[in-house]
Amino acid sequence: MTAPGSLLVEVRDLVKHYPGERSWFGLGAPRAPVRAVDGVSFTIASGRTLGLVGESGSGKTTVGRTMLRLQEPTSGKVLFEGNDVFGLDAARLRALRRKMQIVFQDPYSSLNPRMTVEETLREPLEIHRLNGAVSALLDEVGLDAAFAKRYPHELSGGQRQRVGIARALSVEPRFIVCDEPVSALDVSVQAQVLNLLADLQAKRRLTYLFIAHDLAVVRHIADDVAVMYLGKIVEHAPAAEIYAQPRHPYTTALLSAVPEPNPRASKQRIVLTGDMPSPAHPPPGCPFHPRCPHPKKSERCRTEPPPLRPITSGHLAACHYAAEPM
Amino acid sequence: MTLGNWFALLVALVVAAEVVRALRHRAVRQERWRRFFRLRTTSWGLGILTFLLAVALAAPLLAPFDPNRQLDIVHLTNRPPSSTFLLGTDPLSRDVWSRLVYGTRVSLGIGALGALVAVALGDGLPFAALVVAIGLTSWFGTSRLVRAEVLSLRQRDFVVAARALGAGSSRVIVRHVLPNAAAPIIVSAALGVGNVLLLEAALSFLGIGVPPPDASWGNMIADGMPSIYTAPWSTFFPGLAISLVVMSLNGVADGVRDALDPREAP
Repeated sequence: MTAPGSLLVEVRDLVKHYPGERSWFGLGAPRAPVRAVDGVSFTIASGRTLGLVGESGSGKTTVGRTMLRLQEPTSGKVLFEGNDVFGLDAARLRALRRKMQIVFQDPYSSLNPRMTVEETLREPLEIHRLNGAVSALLDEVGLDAAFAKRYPHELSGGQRQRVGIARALSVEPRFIVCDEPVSALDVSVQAQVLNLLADLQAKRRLTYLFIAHDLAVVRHIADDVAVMYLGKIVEHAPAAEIYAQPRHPYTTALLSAVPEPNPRASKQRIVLTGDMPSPAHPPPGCPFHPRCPHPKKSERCRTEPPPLRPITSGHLAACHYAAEPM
Repeated sequence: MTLGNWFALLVALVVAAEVVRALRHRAVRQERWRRFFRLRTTSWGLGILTFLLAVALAAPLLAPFDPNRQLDIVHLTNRPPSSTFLLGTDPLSRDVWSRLVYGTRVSLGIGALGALVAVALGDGLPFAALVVAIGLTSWFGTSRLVRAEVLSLRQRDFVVAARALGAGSSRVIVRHVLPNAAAPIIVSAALGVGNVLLLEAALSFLGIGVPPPDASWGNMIADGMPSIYTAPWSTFFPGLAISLVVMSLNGVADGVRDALDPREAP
């Protein structure tokens, strides 16, 4: 048992490349590999939440799934309670899976349509020979015990997501990857599910990797925030810091898109031009330079990739001009 | 047709109707059976198939003549349907009804076994050889379907979730992949029986199927072909039987699909 505040998960230089397909029905030269995750490192302390934010295709989902070894990495390490996740044999991996769980984005495809809620929740208990009660799990996620006999198609999106959370909780994990758990839900339901996740974290002392595509959702739940762009972390800081003083122009642009409840607040929206480049052909130098709105953008950005370096204590950013943010 | 034949036919019809009625009665209580009988075509299909099965089993009781015997090659060729020859006689003066009844055994047997082999492969008698030949050649479509279905299911989040929970491959396949792939596989298998039946008919028509003089629905059509304009009954009735079986199978396949799918609850 790790003490609260001590290191629970450590990701070291994680790389996941998908090999390029060969043209001419497999006879030609292989295309460039897709660099979905390109050297990502971070740590999460026990009981804390790291928000992992990025656009579609930035590699955030791949990070989450590779950490749970649902995909094999190209290189890099993931340490969970000091154990190398990628070095475990089948039996120890199964034991580890009790401790690391995942909640999915799409509540429609995350539940088996042929299984009732009870069957879905009973299965993990069977696999690990646990003595949990389905009704207690349902109660914990705020669902009536009567839902046990229902099939997924009889539930709303929010109810399904609660079942998905109950399934993750069934094996009593310590760490949960929440892969955009509220992105597919109505705004009113989003808040309920976010509150549920926060309550569960407090009650069960859970550690979260909370993946999201915008900073607004993460604000309420994350202690630290890491922003990903093209398979790399471009900024990593405590949540309060990153919202008050973003150091990377990409973070600044993302923050400018967060809705502001006060209509009189002065607010300048930074609209990024163009799309994220293909992860198979990342631009040379800083991966963000083709879209970067920073006034100081220079030749250096086009040629020299900026490393992720500490700007102030605990605040990392990968920008040559992070000391003079926009 | 003797009185005994008519009586046997009546018994076969009653048996089929009773089987369907009994199953429908059961459906009132059980959710899964209720979904199975949701469509009326399912009941009809099941009734027709049960009837044909009864006919195949009781063929000697139903057939007034030896199906392979040429009754009178001079005077009794191409006779139209009458009380003696219920469906007429063919160009070789054989009783079409008797041949149709015995042909049910061959055609249904080849259809069922062929489709079984075909579906099983998605993973020496002349009759067996034909079954194997048909089975060996008609599994491609089904296996492609199964493969596509399994590949797409493997990416679904609930399968990923099962793996994340520590489920082994066999559990993932048995509990998550197969139940969700079952509907298209069963429908494809049912259609497969129809296809096999049609293939057998085509092979027999070409003279490389069930060897004469044994009757199958396919070679009955082939035998009747030369006089299709003067004596259409010797080709029409086996053709009708093939169509009936194919349509019935589709109806039953729809029922099975609904029974397996909780989303189709009435």
